Amino acid sequence: MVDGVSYTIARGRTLGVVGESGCGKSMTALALLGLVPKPAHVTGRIVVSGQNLSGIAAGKWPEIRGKRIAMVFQEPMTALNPGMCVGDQIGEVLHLHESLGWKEARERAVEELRLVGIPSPAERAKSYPHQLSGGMRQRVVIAMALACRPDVLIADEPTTALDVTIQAQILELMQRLQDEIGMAVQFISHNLAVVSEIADEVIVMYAGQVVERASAEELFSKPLHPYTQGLIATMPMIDNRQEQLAVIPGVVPHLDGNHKGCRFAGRCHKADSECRALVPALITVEPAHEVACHKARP
Amino acid sequence: MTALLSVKDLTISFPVGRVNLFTGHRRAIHAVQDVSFDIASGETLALVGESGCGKTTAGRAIAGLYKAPKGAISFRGQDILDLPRASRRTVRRAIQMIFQDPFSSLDPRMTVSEILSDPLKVNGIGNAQEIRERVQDLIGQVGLPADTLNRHPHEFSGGQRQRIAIARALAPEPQIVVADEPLSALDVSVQSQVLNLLGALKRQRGLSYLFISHDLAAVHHIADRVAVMYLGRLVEIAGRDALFAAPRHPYTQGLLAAVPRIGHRRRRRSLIEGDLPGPLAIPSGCGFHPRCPLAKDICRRERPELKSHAGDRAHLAACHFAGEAL
Amino acid sequence: MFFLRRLLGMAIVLLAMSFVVYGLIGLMPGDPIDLMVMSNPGITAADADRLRALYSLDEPLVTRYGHWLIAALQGDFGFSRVYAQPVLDIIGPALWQTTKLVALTLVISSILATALGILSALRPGGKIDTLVSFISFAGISLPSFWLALILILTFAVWLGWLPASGMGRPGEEGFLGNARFLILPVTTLVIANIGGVTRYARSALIETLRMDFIRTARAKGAREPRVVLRHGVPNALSSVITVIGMNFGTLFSGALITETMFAQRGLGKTIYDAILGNDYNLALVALLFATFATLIGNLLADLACAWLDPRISVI
Repeated sequence: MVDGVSYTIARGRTLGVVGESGCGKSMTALALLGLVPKPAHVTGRIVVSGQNLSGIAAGKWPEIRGKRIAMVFQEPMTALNPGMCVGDQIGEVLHLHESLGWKEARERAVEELRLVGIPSPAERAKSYPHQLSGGMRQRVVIAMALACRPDVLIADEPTTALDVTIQAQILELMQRLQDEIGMAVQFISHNLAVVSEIADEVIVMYAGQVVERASAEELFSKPLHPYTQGLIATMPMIDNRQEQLAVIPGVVPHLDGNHKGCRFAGRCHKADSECRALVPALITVEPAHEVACHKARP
Repeated sequence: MTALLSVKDLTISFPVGRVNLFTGHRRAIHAVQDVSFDIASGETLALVGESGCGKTTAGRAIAGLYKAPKGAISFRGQDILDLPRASRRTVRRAIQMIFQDPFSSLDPRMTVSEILSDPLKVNGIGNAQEIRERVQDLIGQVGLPADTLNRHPHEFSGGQRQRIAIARALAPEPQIVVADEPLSALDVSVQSQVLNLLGALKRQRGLSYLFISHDLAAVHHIADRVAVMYLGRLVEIAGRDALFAAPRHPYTQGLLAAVPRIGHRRRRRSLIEGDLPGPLAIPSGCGFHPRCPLAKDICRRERPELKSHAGDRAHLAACHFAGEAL
Repeated sequence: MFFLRRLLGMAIVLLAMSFVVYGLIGLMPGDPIDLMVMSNPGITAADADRLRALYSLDEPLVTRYGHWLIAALQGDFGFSRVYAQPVLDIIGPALWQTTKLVALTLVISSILATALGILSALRPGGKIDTLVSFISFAGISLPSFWLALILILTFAVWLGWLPASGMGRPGEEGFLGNARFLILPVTTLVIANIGGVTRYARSALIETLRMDFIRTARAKGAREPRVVLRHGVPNALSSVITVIGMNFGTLFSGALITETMFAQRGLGKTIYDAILGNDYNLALVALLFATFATLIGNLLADLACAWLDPRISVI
């Protein structure tokens, strides 16, 4: 499903992962937590702060999750346990990883709620998820993820389910917390505009592969892969209104194991016989700008 | 320019909770309250706002999906809420609806051909031969091949299903199409295809749209005029360019500031603090005052009227301070 | 508020139930006097009419029901025709016996079924799941009279460990005194009851374990036992309890076969005998008590659900 994806994120930086549904961006995130559902399996290396996690025993994963690598999910309603008050849900992480007693863990949970900007955190800690608004719930999920000050935070479409004014609040919160805690963030989204605002570096995924990687500024001002170019051109822009929007023809292909050539070739206006025969490698075409396209030589 | 559709003081309430033992009444939440706007022939009016603001409820009421809303909805000068049953149907034909989720809005047991001919049969348009031709014509107009007709909805992708839903809405030759979040269930690369299709159909058929959306970029692309709703009320309505360039209501300003844009790297984007109040706890005075950075005493006491402030007569805002310099 | 409404609802159900049952019995051809006439040819038609007037049987059904209801509301449920005793004196011990049977069965089968359901749900399609499924379906499909016979044969006849039937010996009353007599009937009921609840617990837990918050719990670093027991089970349990609450009713009045097989004078057996013996008043009141117990069981189940799931409010 996901094939040959490589990237690094520096401490305190944000990597944006962009792609449409089914491109493998969420699966990549679950792989980082060792949570890829069966029967899929993961090969390759995952290194956090110099420690190689890919070889570790299954029994060691729970020590990593929530402590070294944490995750924020798309749906804050379903991501929280409906039968547990939010203070306990945050306290549980601290109880698990910092061997705090439940009483201390609950006290720390209140502090974490305060950190994510929840008003009257001591009372809110006793609330159940259904008593909170969507924005508040997502703050709780973020507090839970950051309670142990992880090295890496994976945020999988963290604002997609939220209204635009709440989305703005959550994005601001994530940036503030990143300044304070210094974790590396992997920000997964289908929304190019959100990624362009929040990411330092961006990878674009298509059908399970990385097709382009560059700094956010470079990627959005000079996209090189025809898919990235197409994605940006299809977006209506408030700053630059076009009568007619560009389109990417066709749909994402349903891939089987023996696909030949570039996976985007079927929808690409530049594709020729070379593209249909040979898989393009991800190569550096400009400093810090990589692209997997036969036609994107500078 | 006379209005094709005119909505006047539309109010839609839903009873909630239990019957009060003393009064025999139930509490009501006003999903839509005193909403008025016009849509001209060939015009696209966008209704924007966040979840729970009442935009979908208003759209559904206009498409005739609720019984007896209060206020008036007139089509070509005729109040459609007051019509006798028989003549209501002919007017109803003229207003059709496209829904958000193309996966649940199409009957999975019907073929595409049945889905498209059903509204024609219901409205008694044409004989079998004419219906067949009409259906073939429709499927071509939304950019799908003719062999689509014999298949079932589940065989299609989200974008293709939304095209089918559009074709179904167009079948009875409507003059107004209410499109309720038609893009939000679709992938990014498919959204532009549907937006282009809606634009092309509007030009070819002189259609009017009521385009309901929370996606301000899409609204900016497709709308001629934009109406902003907050907690069931209209807070601002203006031509697209005026609204996006010089929003007068602080809520609209906050909404626009919150829209992420490519190439805007910034740290501060939320002008609006806090959460939307629940429908049972609508604040006094101006409903927006608890979240408004400009709120003063008067905002807590008096509800501002929706009216024009300085200059542009077509630009209305419901804010005590909308007339002041921005 | 919810609680008051529930109690009011229960009262209405009991009232409606009493009216329907009273009415159905009253509409049956033949009344107690007819029975007397049949058994005693010496009674003349005039005697019969006088007897009818004496027992107010000549009045319209609704009036009779009214009299009965007023008396019942004052705690007077009338007499049993067959036993010639106040019905409460007969129902009391039967109700107590059935309550013991049902309570033990529910507690044991709920714990066992939940545990088996959890074991199954951990690896759907695995070896344990297959075994548990087999046991569940066996429990569902074995007829209880056959099961009771096998148990009596094994434990009473061959091994001689337990009494074959009955409710206790004189001088051995009390809960513990006749506990030995309860083991076989409770075992029969548990086996018959456990299958459905296990299947239900299994599917409820499998469904819960697919939910997003389970993934969140794993992403937090919770280990699998904690994920299942702390996050999965409590959220799956409320729907299991609803099913257990429904079983309550079936057990209370429907344990007839088991009660008969083990000579347990419980409510089911009492109702059955009363109907066969034309003991109308006993049948009516016993049915009402069974209904009442069922309603209480459902109420308890709902309260337990509300306690488990904060989204449900009972106040």
